[in-house]
Amino acid sequence: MAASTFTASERRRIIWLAGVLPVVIAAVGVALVVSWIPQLPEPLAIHWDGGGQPDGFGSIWGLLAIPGLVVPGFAVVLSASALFADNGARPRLLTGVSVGLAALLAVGTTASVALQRGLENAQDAPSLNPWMLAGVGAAVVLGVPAALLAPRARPTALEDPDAPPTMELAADERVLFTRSTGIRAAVGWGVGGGIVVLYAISIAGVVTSGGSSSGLAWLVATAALMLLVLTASFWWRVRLTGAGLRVSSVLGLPRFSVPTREIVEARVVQVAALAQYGGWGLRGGPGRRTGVILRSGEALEVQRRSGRTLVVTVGDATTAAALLNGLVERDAPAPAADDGAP
Amino acid sequence: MLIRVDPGSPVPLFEQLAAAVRGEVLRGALTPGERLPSARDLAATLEINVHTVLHAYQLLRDEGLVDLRRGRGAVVTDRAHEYADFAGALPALVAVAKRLNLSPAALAALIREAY
Repeated sequence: MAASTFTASERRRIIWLAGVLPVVIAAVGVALVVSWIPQLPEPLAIHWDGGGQPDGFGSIWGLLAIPGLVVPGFAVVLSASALFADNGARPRLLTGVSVGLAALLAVGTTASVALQRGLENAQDAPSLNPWMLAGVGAAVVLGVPAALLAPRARPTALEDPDAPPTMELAADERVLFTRSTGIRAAVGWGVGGGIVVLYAISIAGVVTSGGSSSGLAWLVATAALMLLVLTASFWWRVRLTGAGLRVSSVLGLPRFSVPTREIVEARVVQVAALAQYGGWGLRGGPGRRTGVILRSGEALEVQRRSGRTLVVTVGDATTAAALLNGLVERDAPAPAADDGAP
Repeated sequence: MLIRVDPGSPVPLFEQLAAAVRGEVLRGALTPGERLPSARDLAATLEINVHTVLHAYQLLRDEGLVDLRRGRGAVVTDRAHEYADFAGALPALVAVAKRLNLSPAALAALIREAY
């Protein structure tokens, strides 16, 4: 990860709240249920219909999987998501959900077993409905404070605190900035090699099992298409002239063209590919951002008059941003042309 | 790679163009093996004559900084690495000239004299 949005103590807090606390809650439920095993009917009621009548029966072990496996699984996924979240209150939401879910499921399972202690026949189990309501209550009572205790994420787009870079251009000065950008070679070889190997195995499988030739043709065609799409996603060119900015894949498409007059301002930002854009390639990002995200690190961010923002991870972004701002300033209409009220 | 040319400057366009390429090599923005834009593309983008671009590319070829090959265009040579030796010396020289209020032309003249 390039930039983590949390300090070490905030990270610990997320792990304790979203990861450990739910497991502790579930463990209490598991311990209670296990201690009651000798007093339980066999089979056990494990499902109730809407009217509160038991309508599903099974063994205790399936029931124990809920607090024993489902809750810890969710705790791992949700706390990991909270750690990588980069969007304001999202880590708090994820923490609250993790704790609340654990409380709901632990109360639900524990209560459903508690109701059947000492029963000869699970058919006689009373309704679970009041306890499910209690579970929801427990989820709120534990989940909300946990969410409030969790830290908020700070945006990792550490915007340049200084004024955006700019360069002064003569009235008739002509300019060209070009730079290619792409995913890191190791990532490219890894992804490309992986696909080639996968398809080689599939094709070998089709051939050795005497598969149809049309199936083979399909495989080869989809492999070629896949490599084409990956090429277009992972290798791009940035080109900046007096007319404006053009960001296009090495295949020519997809392509973004932003005329100078549509640009408010260009900036250099630091991008965290996974945390902010969820991966690499052509990506949507926070705040109406369109990202050509090929690696974590420096990126050119162009704010458009439409309110949209284009972000492209490219080297020498400071030069590109300065040039764009220089062009925007040079093209700006004289102040007098600005005050035409409708 | 950033190229800037100003038709309003007294310096001939082909020299501005060659200087811009040298500057990008010094800055490390152009590295050996990298291909410069085709003369036709560059001429169209900068709205200058294609012969002006070719003139600049030939100047750079004579200097050994680019290779001109039919069909491959202008490619930066390994000499780009050696240009890095300037990276420290030039800013120091310019700093002294600025302190003494010397114009770029005066500094260039001093260098020519010393050569």
